[in-house]
Amino acid sequence: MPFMTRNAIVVDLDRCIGCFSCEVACKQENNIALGEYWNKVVIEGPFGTFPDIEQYWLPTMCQQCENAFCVNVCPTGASYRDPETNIVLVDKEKCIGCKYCMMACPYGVRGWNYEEKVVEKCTLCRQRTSIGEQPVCVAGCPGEARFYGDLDDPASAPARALAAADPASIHQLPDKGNRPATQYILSEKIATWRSGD
Amino acid sequence: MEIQWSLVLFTTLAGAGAWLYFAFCLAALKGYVKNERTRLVACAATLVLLIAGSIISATHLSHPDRIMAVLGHPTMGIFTEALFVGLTSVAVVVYFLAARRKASEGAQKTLLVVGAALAVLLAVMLGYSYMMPARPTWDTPLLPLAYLLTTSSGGAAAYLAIAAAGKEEGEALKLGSVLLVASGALVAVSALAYGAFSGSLSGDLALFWAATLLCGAVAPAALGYAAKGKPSQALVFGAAAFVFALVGCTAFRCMLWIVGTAVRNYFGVII
Repeated sequence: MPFMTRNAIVVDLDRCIGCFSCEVACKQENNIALGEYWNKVVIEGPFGTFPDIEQYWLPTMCQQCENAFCVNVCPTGASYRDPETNIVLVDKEKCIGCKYCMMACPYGVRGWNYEEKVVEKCTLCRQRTSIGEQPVCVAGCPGEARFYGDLDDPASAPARALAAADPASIHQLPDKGNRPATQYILSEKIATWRSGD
Repeated sequence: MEIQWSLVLFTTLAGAGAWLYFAFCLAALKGYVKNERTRLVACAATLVLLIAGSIISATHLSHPDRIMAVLGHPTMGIFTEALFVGLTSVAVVVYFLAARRKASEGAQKTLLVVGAALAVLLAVMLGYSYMMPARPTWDTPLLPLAYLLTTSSGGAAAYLAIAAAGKEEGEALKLGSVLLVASGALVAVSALAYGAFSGSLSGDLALFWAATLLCGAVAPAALGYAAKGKPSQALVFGAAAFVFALVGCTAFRCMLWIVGTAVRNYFGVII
């Protein structure tokens, strides 16, 4: 069934300064406990031999996979795709805590809420986007490196960012048939992409 | 990943129960089961293993109170496992009642064939749920095959012990011995095939491999062979083989959890 929208985040790693603001803002906005994450900045590197070394920062979160394994395996339908926004979400009231979705996620970007004993993940700040605002990680990014919107809408910020980028600089996390929607822009002049297959 | 003991024990016990019933069905279809006690104990033990395994599996859920939601969302995994546990259990009960009520031979044989098929499917499904692209070392048909076959020695051993306890003689015990020897070989082959695929044969898993092969394969096969030569001791050999088989099967499953790493684990959450 064709989706009406393909809401996701595009991160321009050429602009990312590794300040961790997105990670902190996410925790604050979504009340994420210490040691738990919905969005985590991973340092990739340093690679190479001095002085030819390179490093980049990789903000990781739910990749809003088009073929979401987490949704496919969830035994209760707690992990589901919102029919209106096409965003993969978790209905915590239905979660039985089997962690099957966490096993099925290729990237380990689902969190475990130790207090409520349920699975959680990035909702693309549904509480904000449902009223027309940007996800807090996007709104708070000092480098303006994050873009949120419908990838299929050429006028959206992420679509424009991708259109402006060199196709060779557009990357995704390893695709195991899940087709991650989230995309990263990283130019060779900054660093070699090392987060793929 | 961390070893998920609830699921290790669930797949071990339920798998052994499935193979026990398969072995019993084989013996009953061949007309080897002569005593009512054997039928009663085999059916009861199958149900105990399936139900105990299922109860243990529920202990890994943080909200088992919401488990009924599974019925409203059929997917591969918990739903299919529960479905086949349920269907196999029903098949066992229906067959037992039919046999007690002296149903026709054709009806009983049909029920035995259906029960045996369901038991094997259950043992397959116990492993099939873990095949997932996110965990490359699990994403192989060798995984459900190993889940299926590594419980076979436990089931064969339980059948042999139950048949001996039921005062069966001759072909009934011989079948148990042969199944036990054969299942020992199947455990070794299936475990090693998966080990070769996953690259877990080398490294620091030697203890688990030793337990898998010695307890899950060699000991049951040797005890099965011994029982063939000494049918009078089949109960002891069968019971000992059952314990060894469960230890070997458990060790193999522990290893599966240890090697089941994801493509990436960016949040570092240990499941």
